[in-house]
Amino acid sequence: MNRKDMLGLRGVPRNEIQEILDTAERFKSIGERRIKKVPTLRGRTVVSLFFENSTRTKVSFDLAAKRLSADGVGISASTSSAKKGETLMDTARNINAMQPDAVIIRHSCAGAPHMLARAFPFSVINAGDGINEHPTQGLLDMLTMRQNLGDLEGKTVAIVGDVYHSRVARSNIYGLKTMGANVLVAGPGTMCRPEMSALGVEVRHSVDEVLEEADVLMMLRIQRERLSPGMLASSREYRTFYGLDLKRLAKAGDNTLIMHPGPINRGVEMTPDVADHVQSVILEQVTNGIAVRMALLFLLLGGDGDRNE
Amino acid sequence: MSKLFRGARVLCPATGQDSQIDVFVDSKGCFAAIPDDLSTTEIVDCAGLWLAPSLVDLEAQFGDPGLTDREDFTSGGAAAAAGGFTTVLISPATEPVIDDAAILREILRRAPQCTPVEILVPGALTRGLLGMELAEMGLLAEAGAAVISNGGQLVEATSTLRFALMYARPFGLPVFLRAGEKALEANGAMNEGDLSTAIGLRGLPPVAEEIGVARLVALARDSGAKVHISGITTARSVALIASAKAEGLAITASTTAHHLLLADSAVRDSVYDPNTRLMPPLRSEEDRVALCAAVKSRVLDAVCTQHEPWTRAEKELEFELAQPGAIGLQSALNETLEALGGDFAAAIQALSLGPASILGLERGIRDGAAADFLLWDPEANWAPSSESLFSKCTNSPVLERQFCGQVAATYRCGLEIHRTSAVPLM
Repeated sequence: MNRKDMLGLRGVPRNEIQEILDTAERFKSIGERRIKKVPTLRGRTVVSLFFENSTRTKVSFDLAAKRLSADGVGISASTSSAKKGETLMDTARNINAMQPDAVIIRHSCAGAPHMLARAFPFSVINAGDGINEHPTQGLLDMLTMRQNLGDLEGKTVAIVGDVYHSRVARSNIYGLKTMGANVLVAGPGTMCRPEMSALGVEVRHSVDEVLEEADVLMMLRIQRERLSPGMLASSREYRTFYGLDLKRLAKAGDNTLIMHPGPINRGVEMTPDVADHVQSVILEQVTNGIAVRMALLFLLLGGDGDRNE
Repeated sequence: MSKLFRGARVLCPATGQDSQIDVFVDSKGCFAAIPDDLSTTEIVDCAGLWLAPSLVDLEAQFGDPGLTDREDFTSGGAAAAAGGFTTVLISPATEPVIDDAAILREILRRAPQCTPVEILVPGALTRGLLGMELAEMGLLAEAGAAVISNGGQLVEATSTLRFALMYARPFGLPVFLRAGEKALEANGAMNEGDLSTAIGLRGLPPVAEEIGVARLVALARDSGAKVHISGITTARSVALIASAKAEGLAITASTTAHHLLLADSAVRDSVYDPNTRLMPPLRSEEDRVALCAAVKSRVLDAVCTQHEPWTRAEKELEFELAQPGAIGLQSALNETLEALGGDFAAAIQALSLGPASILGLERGIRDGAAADFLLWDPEANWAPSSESLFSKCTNSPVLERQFCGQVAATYRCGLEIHRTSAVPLM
């Protein structure tokens, strides 16, 4: 793979996704050892800039960097200069002056990682930009599907919930379409709009319409923080039409995977017994997240070599 | 001193002329018949150049007074003249807002000391452009307001807007308004549609503008006021304007040169370049094509620059945080011409005669008329850049775009107010 940044899965070709997933597969075993560390990125500096709250993604990236022996430091919005009124570009100029090899950024504005990627020599990894993309989540989801279902070609993935405001959905849609999977989306009319079909997905209206066909049920988080007033009547109504419970799950196949990018609103997107069900791979997703992020850091930073040498 | 412009192709949509003839400008700065005695006349060789009426802009932010780190009359005037404009209607959104006759008089006094471009000044429709209380439109009109305008700000309460138009009507000036619906515009960073969905930006739906147009049409009908709707950017808005005009309402409408040339794909293709963030936003390709057709058929009376300079500090931000708006005076003719497939007469109609007629001004290459014209070099190549732009700001969605053809010189009342040095004249 010969790219400087990972900004999104839109436009990333199949062979590159394949390469990332294959590499992640190899790195996964490191996490299963007692000594969870290899010297691959020794001496490389990775800075994470989280301008939005995160627990699992930030921890996952931090562990990925550490397991590859990279030196990682990070700031989050509460301690950053953003609060002091410094612009993103100025923050990035300062970070750049400290000569990092990679910057991982999460930001509430779509395109913020792209802005840094265009302006600076360091590698940029998008850890979520607004409602646009969250490519490492898309990759770890695809890795989890591949491990459980084999080749993604021809598989049917149903994404249920607030697809419009979901960067997880966008990255999955782009990646899955590239890998030859079918994608169905279902959700309330305000969150699953007809124009989404332009992304190459089929728009359905309730979770019941996707249960039988789906190899994967990806239940999205209702992101209250991103909703405008009036987009959803109530959690009760959401649960009634889009929530996954055991009764609905029974209509799906026995091998249908249940996924969720977390954090779960238990009792809204799915009942607790579904979240903990044998068909649920939610925690596998989290484990795979580290492997995928290790793979990306490795592929972008080029292992032992120096990009400029 | 009188001047004879020799050898240019003269294009004037007002007279329908398109031929190579010599044009004489008398010592009073008016077009006139060529006299027999040219001994005291300066001869300007214009071989290879085109001569056309100069341009009139209906919507430019000069930020003067109060916001002069963005633009002032000197820099804005230089950009205008370089773009072929001899008349510019500024926005009332200065600091302070032009909602008081004393402010308006002061601008009318000072602007001519700063720029040779004719600066027309609007009076605000509402105090502070806040859409709450009426501004003193009568006193503003008396002080010399060219139009009444709310400076691109929406008047949210329909009752307030209705009274404002009823109140404005007897003063006789056209009222310039943008069509929109505030609640629907909230958070929108680009046109809502397939592309905003694809690149994950919150959308500003076309329906916000269409509801706004329908509302303005209904209120124009109700009040009888002359209404100019600026910033028309969707195909359905065009259809609403066409039907209002067919009904005989006193409505005129305009779009911008950027919206004629660029579609929302520019946001994707530039990878979230804040210079492609406009208000109203760049729309779909279908809308863009409909706008070009509407300019040619004159359903849209004019093309504006909507020149809106923002400093680097205000634009070098995340797309969704950057201020919407772009400069446009210097590239408007190029953009319009390219969008209209090289139809120079249609571009001049839309940027000169159309806006002039909304303002009640004369434009045209005819004897006795003021010699306001531009010379166009159809062979020159140039690109807007920090070197070539005269504006204080470079927030243009066509920055570094190569254009074919350039304004070679601009004349107001027979006096040269701009010359592009790279182009040899004489």
